Amino acid sequence: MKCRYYRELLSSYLDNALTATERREVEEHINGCRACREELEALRRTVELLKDWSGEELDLPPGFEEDLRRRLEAACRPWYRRLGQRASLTAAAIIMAVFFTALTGYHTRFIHPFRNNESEPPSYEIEAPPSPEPVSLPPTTANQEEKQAPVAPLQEIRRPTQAKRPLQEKALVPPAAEGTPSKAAPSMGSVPLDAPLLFTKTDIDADPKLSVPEKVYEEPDTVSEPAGISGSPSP
Amino acid sequence: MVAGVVPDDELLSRSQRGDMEAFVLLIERYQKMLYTIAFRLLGNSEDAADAAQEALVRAYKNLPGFRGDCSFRTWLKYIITNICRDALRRRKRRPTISLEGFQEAEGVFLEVADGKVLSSPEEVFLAREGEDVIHKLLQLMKPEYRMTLIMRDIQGFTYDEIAAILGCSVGTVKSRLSRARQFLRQYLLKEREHLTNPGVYIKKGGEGR
Repeated sequence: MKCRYYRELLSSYLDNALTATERREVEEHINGCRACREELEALRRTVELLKDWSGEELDLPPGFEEDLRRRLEAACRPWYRRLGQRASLTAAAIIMAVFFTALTGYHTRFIHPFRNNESEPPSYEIEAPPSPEPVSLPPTTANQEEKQAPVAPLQEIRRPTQAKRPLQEKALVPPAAEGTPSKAAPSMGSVPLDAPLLFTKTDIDADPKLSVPEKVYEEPDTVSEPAGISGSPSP
Repeated sequence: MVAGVVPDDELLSRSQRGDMEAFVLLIERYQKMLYTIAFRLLGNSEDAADAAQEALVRAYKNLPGFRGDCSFRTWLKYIITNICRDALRRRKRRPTISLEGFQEAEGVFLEVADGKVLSSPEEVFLAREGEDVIHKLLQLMKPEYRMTLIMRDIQGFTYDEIAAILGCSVGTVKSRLSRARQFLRQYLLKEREHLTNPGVYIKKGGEGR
């Protein structure tokens, strides 16, 4: 009975986790009880064994590091996405801000003439709009370019302006030249997307640098921006 | 660049600045430790690998919040312990099969170890040489006993820390630890001494003092 009580305390005794009185009790009992003394020693050896045994680190199972890398990358991605979302959110906020300031700008322009024709309104008009605009415009345009990049062909055809065009068409030439030109011919009738393919066909026939600019310059001459869609496939 | 080992702190601050390469270097030092602990706690390599990876991913995600109140190693130790604790709790909800003949073991035994039913701790000792007897004995214990024992004697947590992590009282920690150690002692020393000469211990071939 007594021993059973003390044996429950031996483990804590080993860790110095007993109160002073408990500790004294255990020591007194151990001095007089050989079995408990041996039990304490056995317990101590067990803990030592366990500690020695656990010092050894196991080898990682096959594929561990690959899996880890994959999971870390997966953990990274949302982080970047969140950043991207944040960027687009701020961009949207800026666009909204510009929009509303522009609106209020118009309003003040409309309202002020009725209310007061004094010197105050012009000063407001000048101060209010310009401050957000120069800051906000560059990011919004940058974002638009980024977002529209994958859909670029459509946009480019609608606005066939400046020297940017021939460059982009050159970029389209190599993949198209591999095998698509024959397929491109029948489908190009209506969709403006096919327009670059038309160019590529002529590129194969003739000198690309010569043929492409010709077409580019024909279109803008005859049609302005909105009409470009209907104008491009007809030739 | 100085040749040699880059200290943890440097890799850590580089990691916190977003240097993924530094983070990979840093965790290469600890992934084995994490895996080993998880393997002892969870009993099988699949769950252990999953837990260790989860710990490192969690560390990566919480890197900005790590202020260095403790060492990176200690921080990881907490993370892996929490993950394994939760895994064991989830596992506990699954139905278990009880074994006959373990009533006298004062509730230390786990009913099911690793999906396989082990008939008795003695059978563990009849296992072939070189098999990890201590690991098997640990897996025979109920999770709360196993966790307490491992956290104290392998990971070196204090009683207070164990109580906080497991959400129990220090008194509970003491009694669980006492029973787990007694269980281990019973089947580790007695059986060994019975099978071989007294004083010759398991593994590493070392002689007992």
